[in-house]
Amino acid sequence: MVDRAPPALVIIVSVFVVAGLATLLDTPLVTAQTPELVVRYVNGSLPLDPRADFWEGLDKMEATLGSQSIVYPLTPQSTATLRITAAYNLSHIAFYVEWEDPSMDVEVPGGTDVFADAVAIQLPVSEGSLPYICMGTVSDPVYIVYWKAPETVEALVAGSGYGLSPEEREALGLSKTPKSPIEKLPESEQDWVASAIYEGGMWRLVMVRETGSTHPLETGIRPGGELSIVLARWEGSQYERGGLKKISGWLGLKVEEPPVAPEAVTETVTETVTVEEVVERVPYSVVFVAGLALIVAAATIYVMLRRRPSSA
Amino acid sequence: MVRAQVSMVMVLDKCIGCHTCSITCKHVWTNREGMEYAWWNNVETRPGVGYPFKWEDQERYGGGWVLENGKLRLKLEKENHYKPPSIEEYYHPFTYDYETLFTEELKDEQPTANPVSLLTRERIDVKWGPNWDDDLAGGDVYAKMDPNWRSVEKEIYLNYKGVFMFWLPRICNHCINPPCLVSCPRKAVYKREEDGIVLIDQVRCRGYRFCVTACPYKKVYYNWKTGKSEKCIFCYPRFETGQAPVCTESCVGRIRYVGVVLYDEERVEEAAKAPLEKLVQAQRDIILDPWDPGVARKARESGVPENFIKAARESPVYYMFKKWEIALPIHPEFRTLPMVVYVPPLNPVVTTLDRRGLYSADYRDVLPIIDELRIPIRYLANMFAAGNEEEVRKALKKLIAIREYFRMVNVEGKSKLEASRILEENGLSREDADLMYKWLAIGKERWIIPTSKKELRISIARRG
Ligand code: SF4
Ligand code: SF4
Repeated sequence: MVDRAPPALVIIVSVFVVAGLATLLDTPLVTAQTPELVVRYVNGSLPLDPRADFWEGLDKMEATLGSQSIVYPLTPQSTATLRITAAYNLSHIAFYVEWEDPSMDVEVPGGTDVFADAVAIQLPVSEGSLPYICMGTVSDPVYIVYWKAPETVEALVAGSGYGLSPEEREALGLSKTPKSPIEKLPESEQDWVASAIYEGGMWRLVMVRETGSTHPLETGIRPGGELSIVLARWEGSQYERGGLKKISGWLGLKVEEPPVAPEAVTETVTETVTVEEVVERVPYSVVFVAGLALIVAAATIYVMLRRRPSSA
Repeated sequence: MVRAQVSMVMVLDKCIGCHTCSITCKHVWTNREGMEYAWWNNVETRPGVGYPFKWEDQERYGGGWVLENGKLRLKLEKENHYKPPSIEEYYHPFTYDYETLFTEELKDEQPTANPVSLLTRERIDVKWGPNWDDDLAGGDVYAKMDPNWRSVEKEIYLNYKGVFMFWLPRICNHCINPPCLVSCPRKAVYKREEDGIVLIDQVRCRGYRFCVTACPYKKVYYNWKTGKSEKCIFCYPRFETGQAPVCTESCVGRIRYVGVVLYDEERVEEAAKAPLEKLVQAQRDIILDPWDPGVARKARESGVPENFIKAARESPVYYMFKKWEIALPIHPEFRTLPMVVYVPPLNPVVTTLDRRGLYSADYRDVLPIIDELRIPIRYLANMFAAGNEEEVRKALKKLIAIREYFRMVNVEGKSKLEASRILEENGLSREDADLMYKWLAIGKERWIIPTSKKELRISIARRG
């Protein structure tokens, strides 16, 4: 008998088997991303002071961060925690982040071995997408707000650089040729204001920016929309900088609808498409088990089919 | 592929420890806020600990390469050692409060200008500096801590009679296998294709300082003002116009020689992985003979300009490092293939009182006791040959032979032919001797520098 490719039925059945297995393991492959934190709408101003009672009153999401383990430089695994919340009003969005840190590390004159504590929030440039977690890709770039103790704050973009022509790059206010996969956005987009305090072994940080996007590589915030973020933290006392950092996975944020649609906001927000269904990164173990199941199922059904007398 | 590499020889017997090189370099390149503590060129007294404090101790600083299961790995990565040196390990930069000399009220004592921190502007007590143990070799504090005493009975050399000292000027070695470059995740450190000068792109650099840790010679410095790392640039704007680096031009002892060598890029990794005792030889092996027509042809095919090939043929570095084997790389065990090489010191020039009561340096008397020279061979081997004493002996013997040859001719009135026996015994010719004399003794034509790609220059109409 001549070998044949498994018929379509085999593949369909295998998919069911895998889906069933995945459900058993409680690890859905395709899912609506469940927001883990709601970005509250505020009718009024957003306090820049991290000590303001306002921040006390908001629910916070606790994120566990692990050592970056994809690219050089690598370190042994360890974890860190950040608590984050966010709120927005007609014109601005504010992120509040707090974390325990036994030492306050800031750069000092002559600090050749001194590294500042730092935190970054990474967002996809396009709402609804989940770019490569390690600073995006050419087709799916990420926008990053990077804070370094005590008061440096920068808007960066990563992933996009090498996919653009020199002309396109210049039009975006970037240098003609990319100098690095992660780049600072032009001065006009450096619109974050940050305020941080270190008190009682704890950093509290507020970062504020306008909600609208005024640059194609800047993430806009849309009332009612969903945001995905990755958190990163550098612990200065452990000489963390660059790739020596701790990062979270993608975390979901839901931007609360304002009670009445605020017209002023819709004017400034860039048009973006909401994608309800997004593919989440599935742990390798699940992929492995699923793949194995697929092979086993395909093989079983194929053998069953081959045992039946061929109609051909 | 054949590459051209600019390199330097320093002849240690000739260094007088005047620090002119460091001062001129400082004035030209690093006399800026953020770089007060940085000395792209520094001069150390040996035995001693150098700058930054004990820089040769990689257990402390995590620099260089290590060989692990036949693979080269950055020590900083293998050992998760990412910390760069602290400012105190370099030294706390200071000036003096000269103002008091003018403003002090009239008193019985002379006014004193006290040291003031260049970082905080406050008065400080100076306890350590970039050449703190200057001229104090044999002193019982720092000399003892020198990491090159391994397998040497150092006590002998620390007592009054046995004491020795020499100066060790240091710059970036513009290594052929630079860990500073490989350690940079931003690819900000690069090695120029045309001449091998290692530079840091100040736009790409984000001040992570992995290069600072990875360089085992501690020759990358973090500029705390700009937040970027900087290093010796081999005075490339001067080099490109045919001038020697400032340290070389200003060197009082005329100890520095600059030239180009050609090397085989394909064999770099193999050379960097050589067993410890073969590291010096392996580095020499990748340096190619610029007179070999095959090498010249390959160099041309690789894009090496004609003036670089010509310069390689006249290069003092080629002769001293490769042909005569009198120059040695500094700490080859870091596996960086450093391209600043040193002619080890004989110090003091060996003379004995002969039977007639005259000072002489009789070759026949000296060679058998080469291991009893004032500076222990083992110490030099630890510094310049990854412990291989034979490499040091070979270099010192040649240095003695050349002295003896000229003594026989000039003092004893022997014919050159007769005296040349000593040269032959050491694999040298009379032509070699004349060249050595020109370079080492007279100090003529100490640098042979090709200007950058002459043939590519735009020709512009002249005036008149
Ligand atoms: S000496 Fe240090 S800074 Fe210079 S090339 Fe070698 S490793 Fe890099
Ligand atoms: S200028 Fe020359 S002689 Fe003086 S310390 Fe420097 S290398 Fe030595």
